[in-house]
Amino acid sequence: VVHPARARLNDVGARVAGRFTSPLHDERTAALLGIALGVAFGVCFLTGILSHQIQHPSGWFWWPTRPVGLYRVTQGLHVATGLASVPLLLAKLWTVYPHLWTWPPVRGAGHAIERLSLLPLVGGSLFMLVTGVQNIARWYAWDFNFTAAHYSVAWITMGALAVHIGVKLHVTRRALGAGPQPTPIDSTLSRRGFLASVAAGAAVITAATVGQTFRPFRAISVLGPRDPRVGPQGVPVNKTAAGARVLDAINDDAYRLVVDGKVSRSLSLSIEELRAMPQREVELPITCVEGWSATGRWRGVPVGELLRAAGARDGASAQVESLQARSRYRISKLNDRQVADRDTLLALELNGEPLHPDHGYPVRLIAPNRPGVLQTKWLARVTVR
Amino acid sequence: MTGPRWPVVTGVLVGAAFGAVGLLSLLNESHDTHPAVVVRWVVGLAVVHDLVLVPIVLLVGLAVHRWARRAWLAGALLVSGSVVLVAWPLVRGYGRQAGNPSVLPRNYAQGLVLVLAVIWLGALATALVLHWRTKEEDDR
Repeated sequence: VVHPARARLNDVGARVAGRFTSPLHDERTAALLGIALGVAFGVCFLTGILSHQIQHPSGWFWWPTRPVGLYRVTQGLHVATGLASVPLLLAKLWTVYPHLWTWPPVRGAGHAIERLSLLPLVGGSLFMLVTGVQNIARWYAWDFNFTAAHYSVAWITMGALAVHIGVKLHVTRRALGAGPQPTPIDSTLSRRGFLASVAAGAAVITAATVGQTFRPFRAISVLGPRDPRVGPQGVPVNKTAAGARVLDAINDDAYRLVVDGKVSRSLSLSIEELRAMPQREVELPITCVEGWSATGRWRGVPVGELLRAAGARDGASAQVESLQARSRYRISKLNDRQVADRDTLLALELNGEPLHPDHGYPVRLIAPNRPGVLQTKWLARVTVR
Repeated sequence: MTGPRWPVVTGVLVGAAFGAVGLLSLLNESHDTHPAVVVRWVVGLAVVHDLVLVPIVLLVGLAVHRWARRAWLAGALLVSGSVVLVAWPLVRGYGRQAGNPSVLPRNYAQGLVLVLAVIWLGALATALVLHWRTKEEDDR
């Protein structure tokens, strides 16, 4: 005998589930959106892990110094794909939304586990896109460190996605194998119209933002969080000299760049002495992990030249250190290939003028194919290893 | 559950490995990740999405279906909604930084209006083209 209250609840539950009458809550729409979203998340995940490895390399990891703009492409792709995923994810979740109110809510242990595994998938996917959008808008609305949290949740979300794909593969195959079923005539949008609208949403978001790294679009990317032309010396800045609290140190007449470590003679060089060394001018992008990039004409001393002057052995690696007292990124490392690359510079000039304080005056690192956070500014020391 | 077992087994194995990497990273770097805060955001976003955002979308969808059943209208609303969500933090300028005008350098309210105008013009143009095309087919 079923308790009357229970029977009532069952009745309400069944009625709620029956209210979702749009034919677009179907398997085929979910399958098509799911595949598109899976590809997009795959691109985001791979480019994201790549960026993480470039910044925190494992022993096995190898990253070339050429082509100089490769990271610009991979990280631009990471952010652009994430942004384009916003309408995809929302459409996918809307399509399968009636399953949230499936009745009875739980049919046994297996069903309960399957449903619970959707929390890291749905919550994790939303977390990735929301924190990503917040980060490129520099809206730090949370207490956690963005990169660490975004990285950890990425693995959990992709893990939940792997389970989801495994569980739903037969549904996807069934839905696609059945071929397109015409949507009923009274549906507001046909399936094709719905999918085309989602694609249009992704396309509009991309066009309106990608100009922050892809120059041909800069004029129409009116929603780009950055404009690659806007900033001191025509190049955007993440951390200003005032923000980094280095203004006193960089304007001190006693400023010297120290080169030490595994060298036959330590050097302590004034700005004039650095300018007197052989200079090289190269065009290199500054590429932010936040997805913007801008090309600059940098002029300065090749790191390899400097190390030779200090009598370092061939094949040495090095680390550079900023005047900044406290920053996650005050030190960055250069491996032997990066040191040996002629385009790895200690830059003194940008676009024909001495570096603006916000670009790292008196001297900064600029090297090919590297994230901006590793292009350390306001250098104080080069340690050879 | 029907279908072959190998995709499920593979998915669960890969998923468990990836999940373990993520959880270990979350816990090992807890001074940076603040796991409790992350969990609150993950669960909170799912709840807000399921109980606030989707119901709003469903109500709008229902209204369009009932009173203005036009494909171009539904499509334009879908695209506009996505763009507004992405543009919102920029329009509000939460990330603006005194002393760094290269951060959020554009007028995003104006930008959003412009993009919305393009979307609605595009939707109307699509509607007209589709309308003429069906008319031609009907006339034939």
